[in-house]
Amino acid sequence: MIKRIFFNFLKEVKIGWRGNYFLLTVGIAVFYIVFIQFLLPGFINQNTNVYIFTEIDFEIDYEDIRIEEFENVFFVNDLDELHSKLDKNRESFGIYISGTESNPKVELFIQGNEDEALKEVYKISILNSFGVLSENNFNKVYLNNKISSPIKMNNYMVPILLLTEAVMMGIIFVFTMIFTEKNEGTIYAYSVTPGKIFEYLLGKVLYLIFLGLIFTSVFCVPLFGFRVNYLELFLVIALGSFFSTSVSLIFASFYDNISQSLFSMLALNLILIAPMFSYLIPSFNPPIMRIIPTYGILFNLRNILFSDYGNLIYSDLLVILLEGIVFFLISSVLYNRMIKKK
Amino acid sequence: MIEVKNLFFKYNKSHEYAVDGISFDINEGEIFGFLGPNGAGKSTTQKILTGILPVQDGEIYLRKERIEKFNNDYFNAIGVSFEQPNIYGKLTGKENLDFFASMYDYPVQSSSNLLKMVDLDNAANKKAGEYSKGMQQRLVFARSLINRPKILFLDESVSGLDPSNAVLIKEIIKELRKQNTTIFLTTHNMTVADELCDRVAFINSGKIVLIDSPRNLKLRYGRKLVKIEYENDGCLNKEILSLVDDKDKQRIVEITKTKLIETIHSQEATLEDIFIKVTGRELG
Repeated sequence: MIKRIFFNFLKEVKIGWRGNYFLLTVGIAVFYIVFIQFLLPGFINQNTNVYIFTEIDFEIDYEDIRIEEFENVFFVNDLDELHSKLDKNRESFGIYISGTESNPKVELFIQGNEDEALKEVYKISILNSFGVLSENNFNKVYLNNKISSPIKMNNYMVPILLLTEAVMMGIIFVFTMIFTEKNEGTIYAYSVTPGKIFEYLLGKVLYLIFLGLIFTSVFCVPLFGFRVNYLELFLVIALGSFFSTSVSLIFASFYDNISQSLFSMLALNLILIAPMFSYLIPSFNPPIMRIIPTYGILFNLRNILFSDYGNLIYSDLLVILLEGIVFFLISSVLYNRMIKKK
Repeated sequence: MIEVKNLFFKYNKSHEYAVDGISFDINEGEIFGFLGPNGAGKSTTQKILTGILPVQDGEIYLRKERIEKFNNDYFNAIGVSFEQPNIYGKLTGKENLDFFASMYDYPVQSSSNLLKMVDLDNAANKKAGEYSKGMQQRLVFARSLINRPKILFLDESVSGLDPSNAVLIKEIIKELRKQNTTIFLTTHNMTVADELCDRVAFINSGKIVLIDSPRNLKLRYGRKLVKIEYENDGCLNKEILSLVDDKDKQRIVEITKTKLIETIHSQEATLEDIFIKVTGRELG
């Protein structure tokens, strides 16, 4: 079995080499290095607006409501305007202050999709501004002894590019490979040998993982040097690639050419890259995003590249591995059936 | 060697059986021709026997043992040459053979020897996608021999080759018979079947209509046929009629009385003539 998987992998490497897939992979990685280093700005203005409507004349330090440098504070004249502003700017939140000076009542208006952590930060900021939390009982605790420099926007894009290229490279490549082989009819020639279909498919999966790791190495080493834990990075890329390739194999089994499969291919791409929105807009983090497997992959890539965010979450990886195995087994069954149907 | 009993097969959307209750057996070391026009059920039968299609109904025996599932032992023992040249176009001829060789559990033939055997040694390191159709067909044929198969399935392996390469492949097939390889030859080319096969089965609309050796068939049908060409309404018609069948004899009398006969020849029946006679269908 191992011998057959190895020779299937070797066959894919030879075909890929002659099809210039390796050159393409390295070329894309180099292009992204140039893009990240020279075209994407290091920092961009990403302020969140805070709209306040107060019915009482109450002195508060509005600076306390601002969270670091990310919020601008604006006053509105009535509740309708507050609603209108929040409707127009989905990245904003609002504060409605009523009651009396001695007993103020504060309502926090949020969009609903915010991350739980962000909601807590908003609450703490407002409590702080009303003096409930003071310097005496409100301490900032830094888990690291050193205070890290802020992550540059261009570097922050790296996990997204690793997701879309290294992890999801399999999607388009698998469709191309499967359609070529369906056209050549080689899968039928293979099916009358002792080789098993799962060995045949695993050769493709391993090849695409290999390409993903090449992309990761070429892309990340020039950008991050060796301060990244590459063992963890390769592990996440390999598992992610295994998952996305297995899903793509299932989709590709239903079609015979690119034009037939275009809609499904694009839909699959869109679903799998959707967690990118939660990544770029932390306030947009609905539960549906978190059930997309690439969500875990993306945020684990971030954690590996920027250690300030936390550690690798092994439970996420286990889930991705199990999902990958399930999809791979389904694809093996489908390809066996496909051969018998044609 | 192989025995097939009451084999049926129906494709999903079809109402008719592609293979409709066929039974036959193939002896060890025999070349068994499976002949019929396109769509008759030849390739479907071969696909069932090679495990590509499932056995929906019927029984297949290999050396008296019923095959319940096509396992590795079976795939290690068979070789299949497909009608379509299904090869990896980006791999060289040698790499194609080496890849498939690596799938077997037992020692295999050297790819270089096989390429030499089918006269492709000069193109061994050329990408198979750049081969001509005839070269690709020879490569597919060579691939089917890589595991020294005990049973060889050939689907139109000689059809479409230029005369010299057709002779080469036919000689290899004859040599394989001498080595006791059992060969299941699917073709619509009756000349090839006549030359190579020990026995032939005629299949039409999923049913086997006749099984015998080409010699016996010709003895049964040959020398008792007459080919008449006559003019009818300005067109030239051709009929092959039996000299022993009463209905045919009556037809000969009718033609000689009512039509303008252009040529009339007694002849030895070819397999194609016999097929048309038995099934009423051209091979085309």
